[in-house]
Amino acid sequence: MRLFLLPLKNAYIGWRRSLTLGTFIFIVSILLVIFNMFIMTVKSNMQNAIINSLTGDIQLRSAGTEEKDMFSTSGNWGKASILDNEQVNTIKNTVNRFDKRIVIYDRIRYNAFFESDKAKDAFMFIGMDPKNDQYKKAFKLEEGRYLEPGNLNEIVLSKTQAKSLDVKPGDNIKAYSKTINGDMVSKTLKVVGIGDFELLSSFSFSVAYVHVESARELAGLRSGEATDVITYIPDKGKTDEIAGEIASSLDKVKLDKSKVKLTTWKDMGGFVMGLITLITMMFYCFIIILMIIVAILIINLIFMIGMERRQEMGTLRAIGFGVFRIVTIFMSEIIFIALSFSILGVLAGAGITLYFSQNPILASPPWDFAMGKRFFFNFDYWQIIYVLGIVMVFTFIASYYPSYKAASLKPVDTLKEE
Amino acid sequence: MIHIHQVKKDYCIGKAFVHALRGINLDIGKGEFLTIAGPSGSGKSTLLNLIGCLDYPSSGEIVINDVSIGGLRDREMNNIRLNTIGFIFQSFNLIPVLNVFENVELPLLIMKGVSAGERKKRVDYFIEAVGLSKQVKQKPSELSGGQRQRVAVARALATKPKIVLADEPTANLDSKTGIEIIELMHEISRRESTTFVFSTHDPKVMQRADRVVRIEDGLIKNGGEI
Repeated sequence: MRLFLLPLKNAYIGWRRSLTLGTFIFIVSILLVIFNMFIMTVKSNMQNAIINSLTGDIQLRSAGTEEKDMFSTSGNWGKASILDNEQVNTIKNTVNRFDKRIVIYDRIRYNAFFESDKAKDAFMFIGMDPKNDQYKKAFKLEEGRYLEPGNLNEIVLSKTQAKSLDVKPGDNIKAYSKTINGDMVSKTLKVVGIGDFELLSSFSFSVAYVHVESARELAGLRSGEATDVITYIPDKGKTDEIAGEIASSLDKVKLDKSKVKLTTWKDMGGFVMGLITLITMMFYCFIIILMIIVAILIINLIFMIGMERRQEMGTLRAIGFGVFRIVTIFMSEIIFIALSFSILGVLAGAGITLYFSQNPILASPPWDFAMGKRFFFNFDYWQIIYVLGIVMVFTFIASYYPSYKAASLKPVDTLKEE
Repeated sequence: MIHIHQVKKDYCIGKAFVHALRGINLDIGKGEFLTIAGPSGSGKSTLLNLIGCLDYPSSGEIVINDVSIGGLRDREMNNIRLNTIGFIFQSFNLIPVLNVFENVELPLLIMKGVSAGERKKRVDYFIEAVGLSKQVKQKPSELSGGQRQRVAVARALATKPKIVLADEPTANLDSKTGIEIIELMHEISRRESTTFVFSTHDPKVMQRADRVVRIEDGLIKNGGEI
């Protein structure tokens, strides 16, 4: 143990050099903690937004539909994409039998033409059970209220739609649609709320919410029929596992892949999440560049130390120290500096993220598309250990080769240069 | 104790080929206090480096304490340097960030079978033997040249080596301090029965040796036999 006095003292005596390296390690650690928690939070928020507003955790649809239809206002909701009453009931019963805690709703996605006193526009609407309040977590009201279970003829519009139709809460609009049977139907709906998808608005995704029975009327569906059934499962980590088990349960009641398409939010949100992955990659590229700079710094530093301490190494070799013991001494010095400053860095990063997990960052465009208007960090203690581990492994890798190179010189050569 | 037979050492310096040692034969007995004398570039340091297992001969054989070093691997050479040989250098070669006690203690930290208590006892003993008991906490930069070389002597002896090699140990000291260091080494050699081999070109220092081996142009001129 006393052998480590040497690297500790070297780090202390050469405090300027230690401070230079330490400052870089500190910056990398603090940035890694903040970026990791930021990306983790954005991803989680975005996932929740997609799940709550659109897809649920697991969605069951007619086999004829595609994932991209979830975002489309030009979907062809023909007969092939409708789940009939029996299929919906079988799905619901199967899922309920599987796990009572899974929340399950039938929904209707359809397109219609809407007309107010002043303007007209076509867009997609989602007919849903007003008891399903998951969408409220993603769709933030700016005026009015959400749908109420007892009122069938109501609609909640996005800001874009409200602007396009030039309406406000309390106004009536007329919806025209062609049913799946080809009949034209119309219906008067009262605008009760106007809001927006906080995290999905930048994806040109605009949807209105109506009562599921109104949607059935506009789509020409019979009672119990739906375009899809969505579920919210209590443990999101088990989404794939539960999806697999539901699929095999459905197989047993003859609702196999050819009839019912079962998809998790991961598949359906792929397009949106792809963009998030791109942003994540950009952040990580920045981190990697920073880490490479630190690696170059560490390598240079050790080569410098090696040059400066040639005589010291020669002396250590002469008195019986082997190459790996000298490598250990060298690396201990670097690792001691890295560990000290990395701990300070992750603690500072944790402090900042912890503060912003209680106090929101108010984001303005274009940042609000990824962060929402009020961004709260999701604080995760594991990130501290994770970042500390990454920095230390990185330091270890960066310092090993130059340490080995410096310590491998023949003792007679290092002593010769006195 | 040390048997050197027909040892040659050649170097390449750039394109030049240098014959540093050209067939050395030398036997050194246990407890001898021997000096290798000769002018600069005669091969003194090269010979000490070979005896000290810091380098391999180009040809010939070196046997130290009944072990031929010719075919030894790096790890085995380390073990011989740690357990059998002590080094004293011209420039003292102390570790600047460590104090006197820690410098002397350094080789003992990697020696097997030496407990913390034994380590402290040995370090205190040799620091006292070289007369630096009052300077244990001082760093090399706070000591005079003579004191630094005393620390180096204590460090070389701390592992209780059978052989101590000193390459021009008095070269960076004034003549009075140089003589003091040589006398200290001689006294310890007698007391501990340790073989001392040191190089010098100072006649006053040579006079203190039991035997003087003269080396010139890589060959022993006289004093090679006991």
